[in-house]
Amino acid sequence: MKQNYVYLLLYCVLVLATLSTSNSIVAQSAQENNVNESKDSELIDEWEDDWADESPLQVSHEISYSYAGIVKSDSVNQKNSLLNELRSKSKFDYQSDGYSLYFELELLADAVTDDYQANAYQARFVKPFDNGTDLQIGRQVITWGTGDLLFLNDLFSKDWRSFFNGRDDSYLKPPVDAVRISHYAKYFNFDLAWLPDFEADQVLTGERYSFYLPGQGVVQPSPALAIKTSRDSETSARAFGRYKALEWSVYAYRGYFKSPSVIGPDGELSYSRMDSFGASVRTTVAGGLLNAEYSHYKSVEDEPGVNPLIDNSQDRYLIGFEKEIASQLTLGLQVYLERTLDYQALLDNRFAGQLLPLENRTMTTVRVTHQAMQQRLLNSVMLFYSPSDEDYYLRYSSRLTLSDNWKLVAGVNLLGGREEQTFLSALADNSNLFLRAQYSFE
Amino acid sequence: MGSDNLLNSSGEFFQVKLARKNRPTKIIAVALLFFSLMAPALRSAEQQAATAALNADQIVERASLKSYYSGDDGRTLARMRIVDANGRKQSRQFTILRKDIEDGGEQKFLLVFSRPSEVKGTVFMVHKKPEDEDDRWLYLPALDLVKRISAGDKRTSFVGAHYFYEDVSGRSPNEDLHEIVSQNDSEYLLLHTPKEPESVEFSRYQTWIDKTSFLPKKIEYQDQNGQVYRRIEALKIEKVQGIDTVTQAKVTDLRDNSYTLMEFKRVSYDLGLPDGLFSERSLRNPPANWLKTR
Repeated sequence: MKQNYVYLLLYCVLVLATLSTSNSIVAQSAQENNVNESKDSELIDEWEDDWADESPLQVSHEISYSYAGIVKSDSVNQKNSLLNELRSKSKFDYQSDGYSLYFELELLADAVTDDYQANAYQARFVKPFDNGTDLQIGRQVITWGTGDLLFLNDLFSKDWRSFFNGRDDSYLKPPVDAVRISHYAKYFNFDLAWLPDFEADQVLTGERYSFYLPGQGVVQPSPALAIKTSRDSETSARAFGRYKALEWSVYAYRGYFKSPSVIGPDGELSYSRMDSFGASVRTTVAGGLLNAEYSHYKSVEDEPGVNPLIDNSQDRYLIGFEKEIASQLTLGLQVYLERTLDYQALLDNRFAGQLLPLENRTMTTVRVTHQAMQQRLLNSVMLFYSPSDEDYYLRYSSRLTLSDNWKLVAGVNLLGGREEQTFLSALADNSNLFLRAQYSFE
Repeated sequence: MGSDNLLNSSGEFFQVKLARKNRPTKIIAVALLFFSLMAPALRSAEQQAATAALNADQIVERASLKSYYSGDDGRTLARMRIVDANGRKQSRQFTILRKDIEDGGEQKFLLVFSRPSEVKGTVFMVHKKPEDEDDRWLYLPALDLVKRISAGDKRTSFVGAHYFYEDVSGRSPNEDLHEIVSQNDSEYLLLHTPKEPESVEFSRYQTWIDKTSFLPKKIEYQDQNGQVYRRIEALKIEKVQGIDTVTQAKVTDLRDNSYTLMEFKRVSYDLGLPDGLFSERSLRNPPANWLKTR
């Protein structure tokens, strides 16, 4: 009942927001009708006033409704949808001499988690200095590294709860509260991001997805798993540059493993300390793009790897290649290896029945991107297949641009594998079909 | 350097020479009168001679410089209206910054999108290298992602418009064989045949190049049967800082009459754009000072 009121309230807000801009919408459609009958010069004349004004404050809005339905009839999930939400985003971009402010207000009514939220999704202050330094303070998205949906040195929070249910790709990278200093110089550049509060990955806890739990099999835990919140700050840094067509980066990180692994006496999950360093290159080869990336994760609290409850140190390797193989058709391939170090120590100290990672976990991906109808239609299919785990994830979407304002997206997330406890296979019951309609306006 | 400029300077050259010879005033006066009367005829004759002397390759090279390398750098607001065969419209608006490293050679571009609202803040950067693969990057603000784009088919749509990447950044004159089909007082008609026919969708194309501005006023692409199926037209040419500049253009797909209109506003040249502007910094935080057109 409470939920219905919330929807009603949210709808009112959205309708008001829409009405406040309806004048411009009506004007625009009237103009477009005329355009059909007019000649080029007239069309351009009518267009004349339609240049975006250059006022310092630019405002735009986006409203979307998304639904993802579970395809397996015998799924253990409590609900038969993974996504049933109405979301609006208003973006405010203020440019002043010498600095800028960016703010995103998000309203969300989520029928899967019975939740409604009003968030300052992003809120950042940006100050460029003449000496080549940019300062960004506030809630912001930070991304680096060369992988395509595989992450090695990008240790900024990922929202895995938004990854398997058809939300837009951008939700995988939620904004984090950070101070970011970037310095750009002639031969190399430098990036430093300090996060006062450790921002963990949003891992699956049971509020939406089912997954495998040792001793319980595939379940959707209720109540959801409890995770202890952040403990301290984290810091990411990289130096990067370009020599001709070759882009290089070296990375360092001080913080925590991004997924919880430590089980406290009260059964609460928490995070263990981790430092990392790594490097990547990206260059053009044979008409395509080749990238390679390496990272080392050092388990600070258990360097010898003798505590089975704390993640061991890891080496991660990635090689990728992407090429447009035909007009409007791009093929991307990736091979990834995650090697758990001190594996014998882990084996020697494990508990009976403890689920251990493989010493060498491999992942391959194939992505085909295709554009059609004058790029109105964008099809993307990406297959993740792990040869070591023998499980897979098929991630497909088609996006149709109907107009400057309207967009439709439909797609499929299919997960499965040979054994139920491996990472992707454990999510098999969440396989879904999704649909999203999005309206954006100024 | 148009043919007009060349002629003007040679005209002045004669007058200066006469004055220096310090002959009696009467002779000078007669000579000046003669030259002033004859000048139009001479000009026209010399123009004929000068332009006839240009071969097809020279015309194409000059047209390429005029179309894509005006000034040492430039900035413009640009917008496109994309109309499909069913009359459905889309629009794009962006600001372009360009810097030439070498006339006719390497160039750097930064395109900052402002419309539609969904792509606002998206930035496209190209380091164009006529002798090598271009380096291209796309910045997606929602993900803070600097996406490198592999060198692709240059004859595919640029951001969904009827323009191709190659129409925007310029097809290298070295890729085709050029010949003069005909000419009159005001324009050349040239025919271009690709050196690598399998790499393009057309069999050949013709351009109508204005003799004064050396800007192509019309380009028509022919399919394998010699049918014209695609047309690019300069609808409006204006002088900006003394430089002839196309400010309105149209591409039409004649097979279904879909088209894209493109318009440029607040064009300016020779701003002194620093080289460092065309770097990753500008992808993440576009340079507000240089993008401001007012």
